[in-house]
Amino acid sequence: MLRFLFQKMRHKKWLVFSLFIGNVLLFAIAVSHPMYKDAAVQRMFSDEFTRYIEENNEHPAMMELHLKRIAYSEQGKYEAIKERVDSFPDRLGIPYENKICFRYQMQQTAVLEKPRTGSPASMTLSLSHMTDFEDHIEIISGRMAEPGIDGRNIEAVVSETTLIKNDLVVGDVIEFRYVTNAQEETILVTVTGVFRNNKEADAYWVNSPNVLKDNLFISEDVFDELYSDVNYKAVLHCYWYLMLDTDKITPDNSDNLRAETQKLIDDYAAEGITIEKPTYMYILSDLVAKVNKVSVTLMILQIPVLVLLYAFLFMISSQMLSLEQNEISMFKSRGAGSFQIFSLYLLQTFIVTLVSCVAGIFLGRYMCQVLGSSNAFLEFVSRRALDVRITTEVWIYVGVAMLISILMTVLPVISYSRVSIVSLKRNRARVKKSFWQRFYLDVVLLGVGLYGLYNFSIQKDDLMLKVLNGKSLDPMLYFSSSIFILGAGLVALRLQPLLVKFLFKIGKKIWSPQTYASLLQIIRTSSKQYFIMCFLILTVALGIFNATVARTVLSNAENNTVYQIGPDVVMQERWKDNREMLGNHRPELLTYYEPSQARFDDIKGVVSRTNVLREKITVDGLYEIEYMGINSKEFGETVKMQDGLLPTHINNYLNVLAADANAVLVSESMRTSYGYKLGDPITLKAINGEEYTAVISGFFSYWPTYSETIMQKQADDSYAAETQYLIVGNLGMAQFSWGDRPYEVWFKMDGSAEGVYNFIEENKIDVIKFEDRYEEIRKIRNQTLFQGTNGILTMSFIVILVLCGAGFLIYWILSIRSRELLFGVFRAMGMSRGAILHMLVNEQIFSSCLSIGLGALIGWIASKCYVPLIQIAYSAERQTLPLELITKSSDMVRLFAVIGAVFIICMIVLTRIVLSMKITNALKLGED
Amino acid sequence: MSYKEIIMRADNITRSFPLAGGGKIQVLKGISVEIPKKSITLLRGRSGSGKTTLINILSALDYPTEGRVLFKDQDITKLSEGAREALRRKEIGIIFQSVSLIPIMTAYENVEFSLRLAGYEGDRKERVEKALRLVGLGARMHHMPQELSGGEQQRVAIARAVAHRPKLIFADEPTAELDSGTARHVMKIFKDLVEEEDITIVMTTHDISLMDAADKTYVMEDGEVVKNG
Repeated sequence: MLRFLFQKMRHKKWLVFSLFIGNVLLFAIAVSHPMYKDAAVQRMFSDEFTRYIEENNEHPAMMELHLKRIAYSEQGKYEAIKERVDSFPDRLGIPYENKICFRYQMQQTAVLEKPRTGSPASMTLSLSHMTDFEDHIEIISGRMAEPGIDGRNIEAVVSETTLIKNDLVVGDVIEFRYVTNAQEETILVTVTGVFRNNKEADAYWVNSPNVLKDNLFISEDVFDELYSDVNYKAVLHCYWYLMLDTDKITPDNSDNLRAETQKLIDDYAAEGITIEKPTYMYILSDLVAKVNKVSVTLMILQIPVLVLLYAFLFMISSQMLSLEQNEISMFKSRGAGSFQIFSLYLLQTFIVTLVSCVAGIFLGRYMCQVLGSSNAFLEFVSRRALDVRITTEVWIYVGVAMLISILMTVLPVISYSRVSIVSLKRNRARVKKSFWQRFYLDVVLLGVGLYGLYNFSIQKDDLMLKVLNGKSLDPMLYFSSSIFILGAGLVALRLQPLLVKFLFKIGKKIWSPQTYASLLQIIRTSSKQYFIMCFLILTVALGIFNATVARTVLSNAENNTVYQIGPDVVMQERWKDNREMLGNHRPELLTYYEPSQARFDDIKGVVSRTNVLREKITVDGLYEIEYMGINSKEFGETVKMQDGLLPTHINNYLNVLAADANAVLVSESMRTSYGYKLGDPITLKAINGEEYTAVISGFFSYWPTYSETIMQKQADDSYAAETQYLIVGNLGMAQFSWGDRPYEVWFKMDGSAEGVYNFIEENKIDVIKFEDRYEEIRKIRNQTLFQGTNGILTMSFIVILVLCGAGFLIYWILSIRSRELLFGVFRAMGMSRGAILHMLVNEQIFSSCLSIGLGALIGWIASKCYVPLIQIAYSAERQTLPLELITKSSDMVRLFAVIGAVFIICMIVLTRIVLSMKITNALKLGED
Repeated sequence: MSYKEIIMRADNITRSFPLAGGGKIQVLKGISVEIPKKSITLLRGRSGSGKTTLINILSALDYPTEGRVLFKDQDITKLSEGAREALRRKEIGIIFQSVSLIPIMTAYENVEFSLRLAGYEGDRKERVEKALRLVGLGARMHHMPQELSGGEQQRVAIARAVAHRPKLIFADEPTAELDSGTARHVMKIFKDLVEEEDITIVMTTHDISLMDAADKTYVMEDGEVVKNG
């Protein structure tokens, strides 16, 4: 049986190869999801922790345990906790990166052994020690304290703050009144040096040396000796800063970590020991929500292409079977049972599936790497490689994918293996309607898709709120778009033969023999072609839909970000003022000193630059409103405003401002909420009480950085839409009326913000606000959600191209091969080769090309309907601009170029078959 | 037998096929035949005697290795492919041993299609119906080939071969798959066609019982004509 099987497979090598390709792609896609998710989530974890360190200069996975006020009688407590703390890593499953114990005595009264004139009579100081503290400091004056107690003398170092606050100098000797050594002599502490942290940012310094104002740091052995000494009667505080190794925190152990941490907190609370709820608990719960969102989104994005792959396998399998129909019927007639035939195919499927599974896993791994480097749709950059692992989850996916694949391949066998040669001939007689046509399944599917669309459209605001609250988009939304595409595809399939029939009818008398024959061929064998046509419609529709989703979602997020930033780079530096002189009195006298603007002339890469004042002002004594003061000419040169947002070009608005110093433009919301009209006077009062009266000269709905409504988080953590207001006026007028106020400098750059960065660094500019469009866009593109979406849609698109090409080619070549006898007859009847080719081209046009056209139409309609809803998942929080569907012509060119290429290959192959066909040979085929 | 005009003449036809392992096999070894107009000419012989090869060459489906086939004073083996196709569309009708109907067309459409190909100028509907009535299938003309019996299908094939009024009809074992009753019926149709439609028929057979229906018979054996009369 095995030999027969291999012979059979060799004979149908192309079909077997197609099954193999289909399966490899299937497995690759199936395993890439869990692999990518795993790797992306790992990356999200490490990115999130790194981001936390960068933004907060604080260790992101630190647990703080407080042991307060250990009295002299409770000495054992410290030792006990010290041991218990060491067992935490076992419990949490994460080792320590750093375990710092900060011990200090309650502040004690101390005096200088030799008081100086003017020095305070007494101080309150704490003898302190921190684990490994000598590794994290540098001595800036004097020397490090030596360990050991010399009689009643010990040495200590102090921070600059302690030195200054207590008016100490290096070399001072401090006597602690109530701290004695074994001989009951008071302790003398010599200040040998002043230290500061040796690194700018060091998570070790949970409390910066700057805030340690009363601490004398002594060496560990001195502290222990003093502490264990029975005469040391101080009350101690112990703080353990337990910093977990964030590299070891992974999606797999994070659940355990959270659960165990909570248990630790509860357990210790019961003993009266405080463990602060560590920040990683918040980071992790946030991450879990993000991970779920990404995971669900990526999953739903993949489902359609998986379905297509299964359909492909089903199609190939059916093709193979229909070619082998005669053989199967022969077996049946010779007494082979359905089961025997079934097991033969099962074995074949099993072999193919197994081999492709191995190849698929490797390809999937590779795909994941590619996914990780996707930058935009069909765009890749080199980037830190993803750490791709084969987890248990991957094997589960492999198992399920294999099961369905085998099912899809052998399912058609069941019906074929029942047919004997007699019933076969009978079945060939008439074309039956497909079950979906009889039960109007296509209309039902289309209805379900449209119902989903309707349902989601009316809950659009709810969807947005859900996403803002960290939920993932309802999978049903994406699903209903797929259902819509499938339903519309099938309806189109129902209509297509009617169209061809209509064509056939109107020209029945005049059609040339080849057109007549080809139209008739399509009409009479339409049910056999449903599958390939459906397949083509779906692939094209989905290809267009995917491309549109990917392009739109990313460009929408980017456009909104760019719009909300305004120019390429926004920088605001700290201005000098007379605040210090004024103290807290009379803020109206606060005066700013405008720094020189000429310095900015040297920045490299600046195309243009403008000053923009942004301030909250009081309008007509009633409303607090955001004011933007601009220089209209430079403003126009520096910002880029998307076309179509304003009814006319933004320059026309700027001209209105330029024409009248008192003119202001105000947001449309000022009209709707407060009833302002064109020409109304409006008084603008700055925070220092100065005011001027302006005239409303125009209204706008869009202005760089301005959003009419924003979703604002409320006190109860829910989100609500809040209307925003903006007044745009002349900067010169504002400065004239209000005095100099700190403004932002907006830059238009020639492609990179590097010049500004360098300038800030070289000139040590004290920057209080900085926004960089390039960096923001990079951040968006690096977000796992966008990256994964782009990656998966790109991958799907490529798979679709492969499937579309392969499906098309295989179907046509097989269809032509199976009609060789018929062509022999046509040729014998005197039809030329050209006429036969013409016939085939006609068939291609009326079935394949029509399907592709319908697919494109459906893809476009689906994009129009569903993309606005789907993009909510990606940019709910920053959606300001009207959504613009992006279809890049280059994607369409790619799609249709591949289809075109396949079409041409197909025609070449067909031409070769037709040309090389010998009539006599073709006809002999019919004789056996 | 009365004198009849010769419509087609083949002179000294040889045909050899290359063998898979090199070398070649000679199927026809210098055959000459004459086809009298308005007659039924029979090529009889066992399978392998070369009669199908000969009829393929005569009907412009295949080329001889050597020799010529004269039809209307023209050597059709020298004609261009296009001219041979036109010949097959207009002047020649071919009937095959087994089903050769176009499966996607009804009996009526099959016959009509040959008219379309031949560029028939007259009333196609009338002509198709007449051809089908001639073979006794007037009632079942709108059935698909698969819905017809083997004999009925063969009769449709005959109707299709004669509908466009060709001069010559070639039939390769037209009765091989039919029972003897049906076979006799087909021969009767052939005879009627020769009478009514001014047609010449060349057919191959291995069935001796059909001999008496023929006006002329060539007996072939191993690529040569061993007897004619």
